[in-house]
Amino acid sequence: MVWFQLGLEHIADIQGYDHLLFVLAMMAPYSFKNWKQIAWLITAFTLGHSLTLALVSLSGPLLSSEVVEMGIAVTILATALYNSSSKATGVAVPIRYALVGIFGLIHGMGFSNYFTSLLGTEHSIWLPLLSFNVGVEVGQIGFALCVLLVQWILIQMLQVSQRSWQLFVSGGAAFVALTLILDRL
Amino acid sequence: MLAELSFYLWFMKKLFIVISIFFVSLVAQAHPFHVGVVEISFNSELKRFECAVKLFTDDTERILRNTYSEGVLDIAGANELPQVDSLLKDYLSNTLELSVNNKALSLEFLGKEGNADAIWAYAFFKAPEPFSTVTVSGTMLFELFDDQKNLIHWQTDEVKTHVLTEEKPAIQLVIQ
Repeated sequence: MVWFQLGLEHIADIQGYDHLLFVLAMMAPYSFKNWKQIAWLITAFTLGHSLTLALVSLSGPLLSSEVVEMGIAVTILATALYNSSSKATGVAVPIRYALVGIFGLIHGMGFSNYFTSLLGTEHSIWLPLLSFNVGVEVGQIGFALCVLLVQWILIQMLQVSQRSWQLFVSGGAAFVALTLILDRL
Repeated sequence: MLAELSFYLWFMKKLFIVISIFFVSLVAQAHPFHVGVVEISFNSELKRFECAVKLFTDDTERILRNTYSEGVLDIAGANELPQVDSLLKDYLSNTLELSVNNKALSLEFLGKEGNADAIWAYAFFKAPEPFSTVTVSGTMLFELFDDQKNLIHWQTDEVKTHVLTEEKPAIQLVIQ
């Protein structure tokens, strides 16, 4: 289905890596054994971005695309900083789920910006919207699985500690987020 | 034990810095995307394909300036140069092609409207003879961006969408 593919390609597009970077940062404190937390985090993020993707596509943009892009960079930075300050690895407190959901709202606006630019004028938006969102989801989950696999290799086979991975990924993500923010100012 | 620990921390800090610098070298773009939209429907009364083409204004500005060696055109702006419409018509004639029964149809340009974000160009292709399939080729902006996607929305009683890319620049639509 065309719209499913467009959603999948959009999130997997390496030139628009900010969404993937967020997922990477979000998952940094967790590994395969924390699959429950990961599932809930991804669910929270999905609820957030599905909501704004639909709302904004149907009723029009709430914030300008510049503000949204900046917001996305900020969500990455915030997540990375949160990871760095938190002593707990593999634990997710309720506030984290709430934050991820809120960040999802911002990412969804970014998705909507792209999605609406693809539409023609005489479109019933529902099926394309749904398919696009599912494509985004599948891309996200696929990426999350790849990250977990890489993590597993590093932690189980190369004896890297979860905490080191968490800091390393968060540090890298924070730096990139900073450059994105400076670039989008 | 203490010496090893402090060496370990020193090393991790250095590694952290090196890796962070590596990340920084990934140049941050403001998420540009390259998309064109073509809505096509067939007017059976007038026996012609009617097209509306949406392109991003800044991309159009660039491609017309490059293709026709022009200076600033200010497309859809207050100081738009008079030749813009005819340059656009020429560009679309070369990049948006409809063929029926293996014969290319000729593009008739109606005009355009738009703003600083995007422009909509309107054109039609006369097709007086009966046909069962039409081939649409849309290569707008491919020469500028290798990731350009041109979406074709074929409107009958429903809308069917196809994506044209540099790898697959044409599609054949079957008319019922």
